[in-house]
Amino acid sequence: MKYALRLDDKSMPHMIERAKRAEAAGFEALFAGELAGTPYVNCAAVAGHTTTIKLGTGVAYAFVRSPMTTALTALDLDRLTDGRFILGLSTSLPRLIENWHNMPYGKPIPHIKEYLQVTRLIMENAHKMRPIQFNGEYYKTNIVGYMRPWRPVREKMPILLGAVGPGMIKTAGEVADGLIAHPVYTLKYIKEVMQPKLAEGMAKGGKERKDFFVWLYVDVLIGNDKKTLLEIARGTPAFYATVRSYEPFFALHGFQQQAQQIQQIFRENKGFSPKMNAAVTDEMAETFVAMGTADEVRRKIAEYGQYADGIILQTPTQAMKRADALPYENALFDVFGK
Amino acid sequence: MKIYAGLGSGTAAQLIERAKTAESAGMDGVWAEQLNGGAPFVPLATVAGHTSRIQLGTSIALAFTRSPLETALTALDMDYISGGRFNLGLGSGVQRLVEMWHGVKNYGKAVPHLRQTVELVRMIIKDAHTGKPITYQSEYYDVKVVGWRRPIAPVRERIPIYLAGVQGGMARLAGEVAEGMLGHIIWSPYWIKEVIHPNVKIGLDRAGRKRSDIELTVPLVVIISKDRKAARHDAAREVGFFSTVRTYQPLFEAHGFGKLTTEIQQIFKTEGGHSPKIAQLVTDEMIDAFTVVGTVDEVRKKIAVFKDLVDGIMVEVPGFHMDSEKTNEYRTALFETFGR
Repeated sequence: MKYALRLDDKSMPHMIERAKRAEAAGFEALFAGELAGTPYVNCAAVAGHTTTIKLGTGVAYAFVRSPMTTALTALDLDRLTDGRFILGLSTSLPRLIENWHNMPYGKPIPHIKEYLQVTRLIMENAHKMRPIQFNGEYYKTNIVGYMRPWRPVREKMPILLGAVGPGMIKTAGEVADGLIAHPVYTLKYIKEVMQPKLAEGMAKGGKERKDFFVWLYVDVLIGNDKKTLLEIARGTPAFYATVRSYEPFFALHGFQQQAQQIQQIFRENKGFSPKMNAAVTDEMAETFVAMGTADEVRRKIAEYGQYADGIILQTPTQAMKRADALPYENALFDVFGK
Repeated sequence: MKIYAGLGSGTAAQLIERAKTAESAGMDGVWAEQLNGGAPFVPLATVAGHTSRIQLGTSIALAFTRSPLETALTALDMDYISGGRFNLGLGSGVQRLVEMWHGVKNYGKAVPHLRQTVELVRMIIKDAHTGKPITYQSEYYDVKVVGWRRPIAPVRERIPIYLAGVQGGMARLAGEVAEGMLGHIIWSPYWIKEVIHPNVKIGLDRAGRKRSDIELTVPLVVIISKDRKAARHDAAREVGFFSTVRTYQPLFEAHGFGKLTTEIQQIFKTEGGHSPKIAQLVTDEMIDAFTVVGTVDEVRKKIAVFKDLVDGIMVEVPGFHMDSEKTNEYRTALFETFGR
């Protein structure tokens, strides 16, 4: 089993320190996410401070940049890191792409399929002296008279796809080289939805499981004081409950009523409120966060591991001060590092 | 006059070495371009943690191939990881490149489009950390960011924006709204005097700004080599590439090269950009008008002309259809010559 961590930290020196520490501890990869900034920049920022650990976008939004921009950026990062780059892309959400980024969203599945096709076409042909043409519904590309002067480090760079719902999981199986599963996945969802959908997609794409890489994001809290862990962990389902597209996850576990109650509190307070956490039961907290002592968490992660090639461990401590979150971060290094 | 260098591309180790050399040689900064790379931010981010003084800038980032929110957040990230040393160079890119290569559908009119991009990017840079709604409606954009706050305070609430341009329209816009203007490799001293200066002044006057409110920087393809023939051939390929761009035709016409560049454009159309005929058609006069080629002394003399015309020069190696060994060789010579 391969383990990875998130790259993001609260400052540049912290990020560099974190990257070096993860490399020394034998982690396979570090993943940078997109929302507050751009994951490509963070990967590049630590590229020269590391030599073996892989650096990936987990995930970068696809539709906010042209396929050519994404393709050449990925080639640049692969060149910078000498083949240590992992390209993870996602559709993100319509509101975010359309209202915030002001870019076309359309139908996410056909759109991302085209995006992957064009991106691959450019990555594989940019250094060859030949026109690169694509004529689709979302992209019409006609690159003539251009040649990237450097050969790619890898002829075929894998593209991983982030997914939340069953349709996108199937799409990943069909057209991507791997899946980056969202941390909202629960074990039950992985078994009952992800597994069959992925198999369906791979069958359609004529792929075998061994040629495909599954990374699972898992929220992890390690500690000996169960009560404290529960208090922190409640924030995770409380946040997820406010996102409409995550409703099926609550339904799958019979938590609809609690989710509705949380949404109600969110609306009444016009934003996040500590009262939302109070509506999260212990069972809910334990469903969405792998928590407990080091041994308990090892066992839980091993369960996730049956369905994955790699686990991206993250602590659900974003709302905490860095100093308060540090023990939980350190525990990830202690328990899952060498 | 400020001396900047093009950072180029390479492995992390090569880029870091180059940036450190620029810093210890006393250069003012390094810039990274977007044509062969995907995001000019990436090489700059790589060297950010390995340098402490030099400015890091994009020369340029294409403004219409990524969303304004993405541009603004990336600029904030860059300013953050470099401790306030980032300059955001933005350009429209030519229509053919943006629409046909990048598949962007709404290029529209470059000057108003870019003006609106700059307004929106500035607004996001300033407000992203406050959590207040960011709304912007214009001819080219309809943006509404609500219910979100960037969790990191900006190093600077206003990051210098440099606009790239070739002709008068963009020079007027830069004069009006930007902290800097990045010229094009094909700006000649003649063009700077006759077209850029008067138009920048029009823009400055419109906004009630002074000449000292804007930095004019021109990138120069400089080839220092004893192998005169090979150097001139590499310069010819560079000039030949730009001659194929119809958008630049007015500039070539103003220099009296219009007939030749029309011929080059015809070859580009029928035989493609890699036809050797393109470089063969580029005359010595064209090479000397748009590039600086020669021995160390010759190059120094030619560059002195720019002191009275611009505030900074960015020395760059030719990049088109070149193998990286050769470019690295040229780059080393540049750093040795222009370091202080």
